[in-house]
Amino acid sequence: MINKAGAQLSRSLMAIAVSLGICLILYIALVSPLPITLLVLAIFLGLIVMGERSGGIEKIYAAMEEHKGEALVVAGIFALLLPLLVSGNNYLLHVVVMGGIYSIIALGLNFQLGSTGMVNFAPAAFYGTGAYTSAVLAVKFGISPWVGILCGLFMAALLGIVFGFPALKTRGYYLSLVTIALQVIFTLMIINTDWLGGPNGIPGIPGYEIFGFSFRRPLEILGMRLPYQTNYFYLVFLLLSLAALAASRLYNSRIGLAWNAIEQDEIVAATQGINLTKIKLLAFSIGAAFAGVAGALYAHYTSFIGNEDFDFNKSLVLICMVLLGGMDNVAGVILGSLLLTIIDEKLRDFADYRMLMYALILIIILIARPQGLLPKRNRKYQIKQDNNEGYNVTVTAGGK
Amino acid sequence: MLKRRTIKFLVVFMLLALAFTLIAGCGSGSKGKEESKATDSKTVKVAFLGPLTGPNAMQGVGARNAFKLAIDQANASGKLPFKIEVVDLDDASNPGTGASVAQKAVADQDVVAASGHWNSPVAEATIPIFKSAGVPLVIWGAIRPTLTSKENYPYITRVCPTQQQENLPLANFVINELGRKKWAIISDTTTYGKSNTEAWKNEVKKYPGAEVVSIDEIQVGQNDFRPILSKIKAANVDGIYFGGVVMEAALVRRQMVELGMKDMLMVGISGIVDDKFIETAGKEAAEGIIATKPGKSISKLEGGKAFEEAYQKAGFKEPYGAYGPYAYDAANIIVEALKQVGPDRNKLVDAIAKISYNGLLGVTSFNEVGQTTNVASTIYVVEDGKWVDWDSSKYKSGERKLPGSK
Amino acid sequence: MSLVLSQAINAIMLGCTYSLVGIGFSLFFGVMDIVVFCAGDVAIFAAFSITALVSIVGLYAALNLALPPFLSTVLIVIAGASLTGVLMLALYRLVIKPFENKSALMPLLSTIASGVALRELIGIFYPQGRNPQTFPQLLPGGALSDFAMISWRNLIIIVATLLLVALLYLFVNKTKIGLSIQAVSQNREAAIMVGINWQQVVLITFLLGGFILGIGGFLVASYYDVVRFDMGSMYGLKGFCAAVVGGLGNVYGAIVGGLLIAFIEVFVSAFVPGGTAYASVAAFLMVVLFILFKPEGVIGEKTIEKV
Repeated sequence: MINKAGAQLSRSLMAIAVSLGICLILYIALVSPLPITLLVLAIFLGLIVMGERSGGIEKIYAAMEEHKGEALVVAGIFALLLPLLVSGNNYLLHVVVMGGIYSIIALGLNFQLGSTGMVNFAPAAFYGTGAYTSAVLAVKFGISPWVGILCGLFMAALLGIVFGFPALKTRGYYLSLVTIALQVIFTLMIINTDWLGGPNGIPGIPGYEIFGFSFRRPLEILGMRLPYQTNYFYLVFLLLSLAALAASRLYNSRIGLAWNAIEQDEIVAATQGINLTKIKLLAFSIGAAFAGVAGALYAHYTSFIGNEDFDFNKSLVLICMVLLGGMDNVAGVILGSLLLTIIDEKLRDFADYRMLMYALILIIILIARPQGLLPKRNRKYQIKQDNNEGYNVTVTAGGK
Repeated sequence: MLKRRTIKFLVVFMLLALAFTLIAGCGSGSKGKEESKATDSKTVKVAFLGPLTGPNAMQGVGARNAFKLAIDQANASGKLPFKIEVVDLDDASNPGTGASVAQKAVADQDVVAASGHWNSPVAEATIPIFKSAGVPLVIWGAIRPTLTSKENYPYITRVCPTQQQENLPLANFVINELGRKKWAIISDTTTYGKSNTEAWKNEVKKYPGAEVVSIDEIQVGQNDFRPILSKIKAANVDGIYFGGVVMEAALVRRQMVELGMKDMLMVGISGIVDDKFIETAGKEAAEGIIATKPGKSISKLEGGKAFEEAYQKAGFKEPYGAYGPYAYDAANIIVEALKQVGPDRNKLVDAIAKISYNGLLGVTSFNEVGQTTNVASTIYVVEDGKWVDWDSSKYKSGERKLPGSK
Repeated sequence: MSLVLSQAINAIMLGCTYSLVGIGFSLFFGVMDIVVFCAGDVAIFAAFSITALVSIVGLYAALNLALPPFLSTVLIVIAGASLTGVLMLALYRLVIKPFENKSALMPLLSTIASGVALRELIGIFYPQGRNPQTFPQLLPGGALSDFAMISWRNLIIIVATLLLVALLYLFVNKTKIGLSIQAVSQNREAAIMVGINWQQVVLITFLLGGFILGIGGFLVASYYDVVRFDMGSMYGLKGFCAAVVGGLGNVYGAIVGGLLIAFIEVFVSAFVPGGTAYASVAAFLMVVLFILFKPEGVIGEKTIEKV
């Protein structure tokens, strides 16, 4: 009994340590210059690979799974303190805010790309829809950005259904070409529509306000003056947490299971009684809704949006994020997005080599580690026998 | 399936490639850093923002060079109690990137002033950032009229003329003096192109009998204009107004000649006044193209010769381009303000807005919204493979005839 | 009427350029069942190597001393195209072979990434590579006659395209290796069983495909007079569309597809008021509709998936 409690405690400590470790790695990656960032990441990747070789990582996964609560609390506290840690450096906070926004989109994209195996080269179009909807409502009609975020979500989900429609009829290369074409059409239509600002974009988008407090004002707490990005940081953090919660609930639900079934084999999934139309469209619309929220956030954060932010290249970067982190793994996708955003910002000093490095990184991931940093976990089923109520199947992640 | 060994080999190969680009990148990056270390301990930073990579890199790099030249000259003159260091930041013609690097610039407390942007949308995105940080921004190349406004004054000032200021003299010249009345507009779908279309339409409207017959919008990076040109050929216009930049303009002209439209006048604004235009269009095809550029031609400016010589001597590979002189003056204006009030963001804002500076372009001062009042423009024409001031060209003297002259 | 005719010529020219990349896509897809997305960039790579051979190495001028201009042009084009053939082989080895028998998404992404890498390498290492480069005039430019609206150069481009397709037809149908390419593209397992060296067929296909893309890149650059390092992405996308509209895997369909896309683009921009800005939109919309309602392409056969 005591032994068991001791093991419990040590596992819980391990979970906290790992969680803290990941936060620290991200923090170091954020604040240090590029070579150190890359070194830290290489060590991190080395640790994962070593853990996988020796099997030690399974223990960590199991501990993390068991003590999810503690690990998340540690990460949460770390995030809440981050603005103080970077001592109000608004540039670093800006990078983190962008990382959070991309994480939300990547979580949505993951429903299509990771869970269902449907290629989608148009996440930036969903992102743009959310941004433009909220921005137009705020700038032209004076509607509150808080309402705008909901409208952005709704419009993006609607577009998701439209873009998802081809996925019912085609897949593979054809679907990829359709989504590429739709993405290009989206960009061209924005440029050609004067009402949406055309190539000028939409400037002067108001920021969020709550009880008369503008998010564009520096935040003052405990006598410390923190740059205005801090407000957005907390907002994005809140929404990202909600998105991550929703994503993991979906993953563990029957819908998530149906998505995975379609990914494995569409025809078999259909014969098992999965409504392909409904489930596929769901993957597109929910994923798009995530991107829509992120878009609305972005618009009211930067106060300017233009067609360049939502083009095919952005879609490629978003796909990279999902792939780097690990498809169909919520924690992985967030990790991938944050890391890639940080690396991307670090590469700004080598702007000429930036896209080249992106391409090489993508190829390296594909060849060396196609499963991403944190690979997809096999689902494990336990059959719990409750007294007389028959068998109750619960799904937990873990174990190969 | 591949063998493990093969996978390993591939990964090592890719990693080597990545390492190579990294080293190459660091190599070029660290050079800049060494230079900065060599300077005095007391340094003041000035940010330069512009498209250093991407499709407009030639404009941005040229302007950056001219900007650096001015700062280097100021440092060498020894009149300043501190050294000025240029932080050059790449906005890649992308508003998102621009906003991000602007954040980076204002986060550095040593950066006391900035000069930026060739693309107006990028300027739109960064202006709120500079404004809220209280850092003065002198725009050297973005020409959308609304960038300088009452709301942005005194933080934002601009040394180059706006699109309206550019199109006005050109319309007057070709419609009144040359008597060409039927116009076809081709312009790109960027802000630059669209607001040129707008400005030209409005200018043409002012002249009785003059009209715009067709408007075609093209993508930057498009290479095939034959369908549009065939259509314009059939519409029988007096001239084509091109509201875009160098490369597309050159291809339009080249394809005009190919389609047998050599005898049709083509005019443009500052975006096409560049030797690259003549080189790409071909010397013969470019003959007789008219364009206007704000400011007097470099050779006519007082300090023009000295500027060109200094630029050559500094060993820059790239030409300074259409906006190099503006960036040069923007840098000098910042230096002048620094001389007056020292490295303090707040004081610099006012000092720059109220400055009256006699530089390369003449006397620059800013009006009540921060727009330069130094607007002179010159009409250029291509003659024997060179952009020549209209007043000293063989066309004005009547030795040669413009395309489409009756 | 003459306006329609001259626009039709414009469309045919544009269609030829799209078709050549489309053929490359279809050839690779037929044999390997994968989409090699960097085809457009490979073609532009050829155009850049030819530009380098002519204006940096000075090969054209050197050859011209001994040979008639026409022959030196042909030699240079063959040199450039062979270079791309080899490049294609290298790409196959590096970014396509590792993903055989894996999810279709992976080679697609890896070829997109290598397309980006290729583009950036040109931009970084070619002197002034990010600026557009004037393409050397290797084809005679003058008009055929005063009456015809077609220039020498355009005629050569059309003839070269047709010739290339004819040669490809002969190669695929009359030679042993061509027949094995056909066999592999119809049924890989069966082909292997009757003793066809599959690996060899794949290598030859990539060499051949690279060669065709190289010539395509040359013709495109000659038609536009200019090469840009980032031209390949849009060009490749339109080529992919051409291949899909014509029926992915069907080499001759790619020509029809290329022409169809070009005609829509040209006629929308010429005859729809304000249509220029929407030309690409119209073309892409057509492609989307094609995939949704006639995925087998214009002249493809309908296949039924067996479980």
